[in-house]
Amino acid sequence: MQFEQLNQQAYEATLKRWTWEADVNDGFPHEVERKLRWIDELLSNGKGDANNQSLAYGVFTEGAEVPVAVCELVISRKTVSERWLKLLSVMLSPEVEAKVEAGDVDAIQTAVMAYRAAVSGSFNAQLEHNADTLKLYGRNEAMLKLLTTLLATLQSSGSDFDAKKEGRWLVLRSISTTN
Amino acid sequence: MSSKQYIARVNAHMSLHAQLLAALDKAINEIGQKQVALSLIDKVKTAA
Repeated sequence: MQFEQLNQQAYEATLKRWTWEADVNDGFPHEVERKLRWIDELLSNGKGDANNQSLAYGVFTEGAEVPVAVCELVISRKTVSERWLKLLSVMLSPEVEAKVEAGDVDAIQTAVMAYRAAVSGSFNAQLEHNADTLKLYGRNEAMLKLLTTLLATLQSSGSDFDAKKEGRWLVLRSISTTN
Repeated sequence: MSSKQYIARVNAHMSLHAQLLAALDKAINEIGQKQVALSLIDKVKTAA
Protein backbone atom coordinates (compact mmCIF):
# COMPACT_ATOMS: atom_id res chain seq x y z
CA MET A 1 0.00 0.00 0.00
CA GLN A 2 1.09 3.57 -0.75
CA PHE A 3 0.91 6.53 1.62
CA GLU A 4 0.52 9.72 -0.43
CA GLN A 5 -0.42 13.31 0.23
CA LEU A 6 -3.85 14.18 -1.21
CA ASN A 7 -4.26 16.89 -3.85
CA GLN A 8 -7.47 18.48 -5.12
CA GLN A 9 -7.95 15.84 -7.81
CA ALA A 10 -7.50 12.94 -5.37
CA TYR A 11 -9.81 14.65 -2.87
CA GLU A 12 -12.60 15.09 -5.45
CA ALA A 13 -12.25 11.46 -6.63
CA THR A 14 -12.37 10.30 -2.98
CA LEU A 15 -15.44 12.39 -2.17
CA LYS A 16 -17.28 11.07 -5.25
CA ARG A 17 -16.39 7.41 -4.64
CA TRP A 18 -16.85 7.42 -0.85
CA THR A 19 -20.31 9.11 -1.00
CA TRP A 20 -21.35 6.45 -3.55
CA GLU A 21 -19.92 3.68 -1.32
CA ALA A 22 -21.83 5.07 1.67
CA ASP A 23 -25.03 5.11 -0.37
CA VAL A 24 -24.75 1.49 -1.60
CA ASN A 25 -23.68 0.21 1.86
CA ASP A 26 -26.68 1.70 3.72
CA GLY A 27 -24.51 4.52 5.07
CA PHE A 28 -25.01 8.27 5.00
CA PRO A 29 -23.39 10.12 2.04
CA HIS A 30 -23.82 13.52 3.77
CA GLU A 31 -21.89 12.14 6.77
CA VAL A 32 -19.00 11.24 4.45
CA GLU A 33 -19.11 14.78 3.00
CA ARG A 34 -18.96 16.20 6.52
CA LYS A 35 -16.06 13.91 7.53
CA LEU A 36 -14.03 14.87 4.44
CA ARG A 37 -14.83 18.60 4.46
CA TRP A 38 -11.64 19.45 6.40
CA ILE A 39 -9.58 18.27 3.40
CA ASP A 40 -11.42 20.64 1.05
CA GLU A 41 -10.87 23.51 3.51
CA LEU A 42 -7.22 22.55 3.88
CA LEU A 43 -6.64 22.44 0.11
CA SER A 44 -8.55 25.71 -0.44
CA ASN A 45 -7.28 27.77 2.49
CA GLY A 46 -3.77 26.47 3.12
CA LYS A 47 -2.23 24.44 5.92
CA GLY A 48 -3.03 26.69 8.91
CA ASP A 49 -0.51 28.58 11.01
CA ALA A 50 3.19 27.79 10.91
CA ASN A 51 3.12 26.15 14.37
CA ASN A 52 0.25 23.78 13.54
CA GLN A 53 0.17 22.68 9.91
CA SER A 54 -2.45 20.14 8.85
CA LEU A 55 -1.77 17.56 6.16
CA ALA A 56 -4.10 15.13 4.38
CA TYR A 57 -2.74 11.77 3.28
CA GLY A 58 -4.38 8.78 1.65
CA VAL A 59 -3.57 5.07 1.88
CA PHE A 60 -3.84 3.62 -1.62
CA THR A 61 -3.81 0.02 -2.79
CA GLU A 62 -1.49 -0.61 -5.75
CA GLY A 63 -2.63 1.37 -8.82
CA ALA A 64 -5.81 2.74 -7.17
CA GLU A 65 -6.91 6.36 -7.72
CA VAL A 66 -9.10 6.46 -4.61
CA PRO A 67 -7.68 5.67 -1.15
CA VAL A 68 -8.95 2.92 1.17
CA ALA A 69 -8.20 5.25 4.09
CA VAL A 70 -7.68 8.96 4.66
CA CYS A 71 -5.26 10.17 7.34
CA GLU A 72 -5.12 13.51 9.13
CA LEU A 73 -1.63 14.59 10.15
CA VAL A 74 -0.47 17.74 11.95
CA ILE A 75 3.02 19.17 12.21
CA SER A 76 3.48 21.03 15.49
CA ARG A 77 6.48 23.19 16.26
CA LYS A 78 7.17 22.51 19.94
CA THR A 79 10.29 24.63 20.24
CA VAL A 80 12.59 26.25 17.65
CA SER A 81 14.47 22.96 17.20
CA GLU A 82 11.72 20.47 18.07
CA ARG A 83 8.97 19.48 15.60
CA TRP A 84 6.31 16.84 16.18
CA LEU A 85 4.40 15.00 13.50
CA LYS A 86 1.05 13.76 14.79
CA LEU A 87 -1.14 11.14 13.15
CA LEU A 88 -4.55 12.22 14.43
CA SER A 89 -6.89 9.89 12.57
CA VAL A 90 -7.13 7.06 10.05
CA MET A 91 -10.57 7.02 8.43
CA LEU A 92 -11.45 3.87 6.49
CA SER A 93 -13.53 4.07 3.30
CA PRO A 94 -17.28 3.40 3.80
CA GLU A 95 -17.01 0.16 1.81
CA VAL A 96 -14.11 -1.24 3.87
CA GLU A 97 -15.76 -0.09 7.11
CA ALA A 98 -19.09 -1.74 6.23
CA LYS A 99 -17.38 -5.00 5.27
CA VAL A 100 -15.23 -5.01 8.43
CA GLU A 101 -18.39 -4.62 10.53
CA ALA A 102 -19.89 -7.59 8.64
CA GLY A 103 -16.81 -9.67 9.51
CA ASP A 104 -15.44 -9.90 5.95
CA VAL A 105 -11.94 -11.41 6.28
CA ASP A 106 -10.50 -9.63 3.18
CA ALA A 107 -11.79 -6.27 4.42
CA ILE A 108 -10.31 -6.87 7.90
CA GLN A 109 -6.98 -7.63 6.20
CA THR A 110 -7.29 -4.42 4.13
CA ALA A 111 -8.08 -2.39 7.27
CA VAL A 112 -5.10 -3.84 9.16
CA MET A 113 -2.78 -3.14 6.23
CA ALA A 114 -4.18 0.40 5.96
CA TYR A 115 -3.36 1.04 9.65
CA ARG A 116 0.11 -0.44 9.08
CA ALA A 117 0.67 1.80 6.04
CA ALA A 118 -0.58 4.85 7.97
CA VAL A 119 1.91 4.26 10.82
CA SER A 120 4.77 3.40 8.48
CA GLY A 121 3.96 6.26 6.09
CA SER A 122 3.69 8.79 8.93
CA PHE A 123 7.11 7.71 10.15
CA ASN A 124 8.54 8.30 6.66
CA ALA A 125 6.76 11.66 6.39
CA GLN A 126 8.83 12.77 9.41
CA LEU A 127 11.88 12.94 7.17
CA GLU A 128 10.12 15.04 4.53
CA HIS A 129 8.66 17.42 7.12
CA ASN A 130 11.78 17.54 9.27
CA ALA A 131 10.08 16.30 12.44
CA ASP A 132 11.97 14.54 15.24
CA THR A 133 9.03 13.05 17.17
CA LEU A 134 6.11 10.98 15.88
CA LYS A 135 2.89 10.92 17.90
CA LEU A 136 0.25 8.36 16.92
CA TYR A 137 -3.28 8.74 18.28
CA GLY A 138 -5.40 5.70 19.14
CA ARG A 139 -8.71 7.23 18.05
CA ASN A 140 -10.66 3.97 17.99
CA GLU A 141 -10.24 0.64 19.79
CA ALA A 142 -8.58 -1.08 16.77
CA MET A 143 -5.93 1.64 16.42
CA LEU A 144 -5.39 1.81 20.20
CA LYS A 145 -4.90 -1.96 20.36
CA LEU A 146 -2.37 -1.82 17.49
CA LEU A 147 -0.44 1.03 19.15
CA THR A 148 -0.42 -0.65 22.58
CA THR A 149 0.86 -3.93 21.10
CA LEU A 150 3.37 -2.02 18.95
CA LEU A 151 4.73 -0.30 22.07
CA ALA A 152 5.21 -3.65 23.84
CA THR A 153 6.89 -5.09 20.74
CA LEU A 154 9.26 -2.13 20.36
CA GLN A 155 10.19 -2.22 24.04
CA SER A 156 10.81 -5.96 24.08
CA SER A 157 12.82 -6.04 20.83
CA GLY A 158 15.58 -3.72 22.04
CA SER A 159 14.91 -1.30 19.18
CA ASP A 160 16.54 2.10 18.72
CA PHE A 161 13.24 3.80 19.55
CA ASP A 162 12.44 5.73 22.68
CA ALA A 163 8.78 4.63 22.75
CA LYS A 164 6.23 5.59 25.39
CA LYS A 165 2.50 5.87 25.85
CA GLU A 166 0.85 9.15 26.87
CA GLY A 167 -2.86 8.49 27.34
CA ARG A 168 -4.15 7.34 23.93
CA TRP A 169 -0.94 8.57 22.23
CA LEU A 170 2.07 6.45 21.27
CA VAL A 171 5.14 8.69 21.19
CA LEU A 172 8.14 7.58 19.11
CA ARG A 173 11.56 9.18 19.01
CA SER A 174 14.96 7.91 18.07
CA ILE A 175 17.12 7.05 21.10
CA SER A 176 19.95 9.01 19.47
CA THR A 177 17.72 12.13 19.40
CA THR A 178 16.81 11.85 23.07
CA ASN A 179 20.42 11.41 24.21
CA MET B 1 23.26 20.36 6.90
CA SER B 2 26.10 18.96 4.79
CA SER B 3 25.46 16.17 2.27
CA LYS B 4 27.39 13.79 4.54
CA GLN B 5 25.16 14.66 7.51
CA TYR B 6 22.05 14.32 5.34
CA ILE B 7 23.07 10.84 4.12
CA ALA B 8 23.77 9.78 7.72
CA ARG B 9 20.33 11.09 8.73
CA VAL B 10 18.58 9.22 5.88
CA ASN B 11 20.47 6.00 6.73
CA ALA B 12 19.50 6.28 10.41
CA HIS B 13 15.90 6.89 9.36
CA MET B 14 15.88 3.83 7.08
CA SER B 15 17.30 1.65 9.86
CA LEU B 16 14.58 2.85 12.26
CA HIS B 17 11.93 2.34 9.57
CA ALA B 18 12.99 -1.29 9.13
CA GLN B 19 12.76 -1.79 12.92
CA LEU B 20 9.32 -0.16 12.97
CA LEU B 21 8.02 -2.39 10.15
CA ALA B 22 9.30 -5.52 11.89
CA ALA B 23 7.65 -4.44 15.16
CA LEU B 24 4.40 -3.58 13.34
CA ASP B 25 4.26 -7.00 11.68
CA LYS B 26 4.97 -8.74 14.99
CA ALA B 27 2.25 -6.68 16.71
CA ILE B 28 -0.29 -7.43 13.94
CA ASN B 29 0.58 -11.14 14.15
CA GLU B 30 0.13 -11.14 17.96
CA ILE B 31 -3.24 -9.37 17.73
CA GLY B 32 -4.35 -11.83 15.02
CA GLN B 33 -3.37 -14.83 17.15
CA LYS B 34 -5.23 -13.41 20.14
CA GLN B 35 -8.34 -12.87 18.00
CA VAL B 36 -8.22 -16.49 16.76
CA ALA B 37 -7.76 -17.75 20.35
CA LEU B 38 -10.70 -15.65 21.57
CA SER B 39 -12.98 -16.90 18.77
CA LEU B 40 -11.97 -20.50 19.61
CA ILE B 41 -12.80 -19.92 23.30
CA ASP B 42 -16.19 -18.53 22.20
CA LYS B 43 -16.82 -21.63 20.08
CA VAL B 44 -15.90 -23.95 22.97
CA LYS B 45 -18.19 -21.99 25.36
CA THR B 46 -21.05 -22.11 22.83
CA ALA B 47 -20.57 -25.88 22.34
CA ALA B 48 -20.57 -26.46 26.12
